[in-house]
Amino acid sequence: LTARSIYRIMFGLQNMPKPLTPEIIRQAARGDHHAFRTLVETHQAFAYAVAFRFTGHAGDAEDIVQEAFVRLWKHLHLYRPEVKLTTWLYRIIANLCLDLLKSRPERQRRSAVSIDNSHAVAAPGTPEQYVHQQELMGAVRAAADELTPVQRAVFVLRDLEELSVAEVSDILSMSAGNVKSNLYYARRKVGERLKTLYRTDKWPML
Amino acid sequence: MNCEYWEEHLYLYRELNADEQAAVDHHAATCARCRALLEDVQQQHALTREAAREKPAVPSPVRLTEAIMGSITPARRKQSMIDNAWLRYGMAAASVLLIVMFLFERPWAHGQPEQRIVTARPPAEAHSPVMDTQAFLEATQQKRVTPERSRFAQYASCIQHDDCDNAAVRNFKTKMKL
Repeated sequence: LTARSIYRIMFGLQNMPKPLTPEIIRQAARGDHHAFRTLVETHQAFAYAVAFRFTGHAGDAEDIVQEAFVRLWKHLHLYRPEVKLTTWLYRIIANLCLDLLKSRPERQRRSAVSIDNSHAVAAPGTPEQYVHQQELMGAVRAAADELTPVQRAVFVLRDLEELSVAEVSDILSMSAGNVKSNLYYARRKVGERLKTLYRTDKWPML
Repeated sequence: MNCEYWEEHLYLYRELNADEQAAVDHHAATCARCRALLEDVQQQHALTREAAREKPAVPSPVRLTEAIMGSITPARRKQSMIDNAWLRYGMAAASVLLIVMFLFERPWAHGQPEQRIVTARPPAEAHSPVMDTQAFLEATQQKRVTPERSRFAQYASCIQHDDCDNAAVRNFKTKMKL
C-alpha cells in the first residue's frame, strides 16, 4: 500500500468502482429507487470518465451517462450476476458514444478546439507534474479526436481503460482480429501525434 | 522479411503471445529501424498510461445523480401502474361488481322514483311545507334494501374491519394486501 494508493482511495481516484453487493443490484432490478441511487452514486464517476474519453466533451458525456443509466434501469431485470456490471455499462456507453460520434462527425473535433481540463481530477504531485500531466492528457485527447469512431473506441477501451482485447471485443461486439487491426491504426496515429510533441519539445502550455 | 511486415506486430507488441514476441525481439535485434520503432511504441504506451492515470471527473456529481434519478422516476411509475396485475384485475373486478349491482337493483321494477318518495312521506304531514327529512331518509333507505345491496354492504364493511370472518373477503384482502 503506497502513499499514492492511499491518496487515490481517499479521494476516490480508483479507476473502477467498488463492486456492489448482488443484493443491491437485485433490489434495484426489482424497482427499488433507493438501491438504484446507490448504484448510480457508485458508478457514475466511472461512467462519466469513459463517456468523456469517448466524446471529449463534458456536456455530451453527461448526456450519455444519463441515457446509459436510464437504459440500465429499464433493463436491469435482465441482469445476470456472471456479467460484471461495469462490463454492461461499458457496452451501453460504448454503443451510445459510437452512435453519437458516427452521427455527428464534427463533434470529433470539438474537444480539440475547446480543451477544458478544469474539471479533471488533479493527481498528487508538484505543480510541474500537474502541468505535464495536463499537457499529456491534452495531447492524447487531441490525438484521439483524429481517430475514426471505432478506432477511438478501441483505443479508449484498450489503452486508456486498460481492458483486455477479449473484453474490448466483447464490449464492442467485434472479433479480436478486428479489435487489433483498429488498435494498430489508432496507436499509429496517436504515436505520430505524441512523437511530434516530444521531438520538437514544443509544449503548448510552457 | 521487410520492416512493413513487422510494423503491425510492433504496434501490437503487447497483444502478441510469447512466441510472437520472441519473433519480434529476434528481428529487432538485427534491424535498427524496427528496434527504434519498438522503443517508440513502448514510450508511447508509457505516456498513454500516464495520461490515463487521471480520469475525467464529473463536474457536479450531485446534480448528475439527481438528473438520472429524475429521468427514471416518471417512466417507472407509468410502467408500475401497468405492471401491477393485482391493481389491474382488482379494478376490473370492482367495475364488474358495480355493473352487477346496478342490474340487480332493477330501478325499473320499482316504478317511478317520485312515487316512492311521495308514499314514503307520512300522510299527516303531506301538506306541510316543512318536510321531515329524517323520516324521508329512513323511508328511502328502507325502500332501497335488497338482498344484493345487503350483501354488498356486508362486504364493504368487512373490508374495513380486520375482525371480519367472511372467507371470500379475507381472501380478497390477503391478495390485495389490505
